[in-house]
Amino acid sequence: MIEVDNELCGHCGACVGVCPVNALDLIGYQIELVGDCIDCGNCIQTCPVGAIEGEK
Amino acid sequence: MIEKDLLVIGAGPAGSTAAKFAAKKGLDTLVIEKRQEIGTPIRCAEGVGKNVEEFVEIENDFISKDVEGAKIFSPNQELFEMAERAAGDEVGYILERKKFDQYLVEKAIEEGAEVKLRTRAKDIERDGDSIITKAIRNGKKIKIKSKIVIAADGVESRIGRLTGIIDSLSLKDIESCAQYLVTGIEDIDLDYTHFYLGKEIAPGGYAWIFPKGPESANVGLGVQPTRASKKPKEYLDEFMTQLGLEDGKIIEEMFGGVPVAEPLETAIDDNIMLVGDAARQADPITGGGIINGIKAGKIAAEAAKRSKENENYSKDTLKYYEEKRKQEIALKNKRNYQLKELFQSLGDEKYNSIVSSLKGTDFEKISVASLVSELIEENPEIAEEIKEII
Repeated sequence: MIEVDNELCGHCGACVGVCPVNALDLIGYQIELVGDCIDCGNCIQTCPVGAIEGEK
Repeated sequence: MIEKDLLVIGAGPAGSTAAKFAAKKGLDTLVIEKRQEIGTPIRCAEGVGKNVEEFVEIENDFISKDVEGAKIFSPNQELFEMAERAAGDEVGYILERKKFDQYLVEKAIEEGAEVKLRTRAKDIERDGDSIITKAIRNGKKIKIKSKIVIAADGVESRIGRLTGIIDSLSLKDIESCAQYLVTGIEDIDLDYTHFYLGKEIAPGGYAWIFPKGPESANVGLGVQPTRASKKPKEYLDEFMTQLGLEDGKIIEEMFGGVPVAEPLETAIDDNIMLVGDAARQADPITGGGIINGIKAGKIAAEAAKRSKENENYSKDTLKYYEEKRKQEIALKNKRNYQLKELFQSLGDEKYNSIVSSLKGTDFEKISVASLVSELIEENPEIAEEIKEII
């Protein structure tokens, strides 16, 4: 399961676009988990500021 | 339940353009935008080719800078220059994106489109020959029933994925970007845009300086996540140091993901069309997406009008959009995607030799086509690959 640091987040939505299961959404100034994360790590690798951490 | 002919999701350049032309053609049009303000936060380097004038009446209000050309630096710091009109979609004007986006929305409103801010599409489902979009507006659930949805929801492109038109972006087809708006710049020629290549600076992408004013510029870079060993923000801080701007006065920090993907085989389904970054229409080499988004919005509006005339909103009647966007956007993007793949596979030494071979050429006189033939002549070992692509 991932964790998003919304204070570090730059609110760009890149992580949303690479999530293969549509589990993320950019809501206002927050990235929120809106579905079931499969721990693929795409969002972690894509985030331009390193605001997402998790198992992969 | 709100009922409309057309719902446009997202009020960036692609969505606003679609709404403007659709409203003008007599469609009852609603635009929803999840943010509370049009155009923010910026997630763009703000460069656009001068051919934007074909689509938008240029007002000084949203032009930050009219640039003379591009300076391109190889990894070993050799330089070549290109005149503005040869350099493509990323060079010409540097926009004030907030004002530009707001201007485009105003134009849509003038034509009769309605706009609702703070309204986020959450889910979408078909209902007979219509489509129902469930959204959250100011914290409350609303439903919007429309004949057509134009999804202009940016790199997130949740609508395209919820409806199964597209899959998520592959990590090799996205550029992860960081950018600062820096002021108090003294020693950089701000009549030009600057591009920097090299795996130490921006692996799988490039770094840029896009002038915004006499002493200010967007300084940023994009990297391909699979080739990067650090985060874009870390590369950017190093790039700032390399430019001598480590003490630079940063007045805005921006981040973004830019799709640099192959054109979609299909960007429509019954009742739905995808436009702009949501349809991955940014140029895969430059990452520039504004003009293609505007083109797509305009075509999608015409397709929507035609389907309303026929009272048929199926995929078949939306084919007009598919055919036109393939001619006007996808053809070039397909070629540029292949070139991007080739360029990304070349090492720094190859970039050095290419830039070195181009030095001294008179770029006032040449086009991108002759630039490519020059590349082939000077670098025969990659000639076959380039010829195949072109």
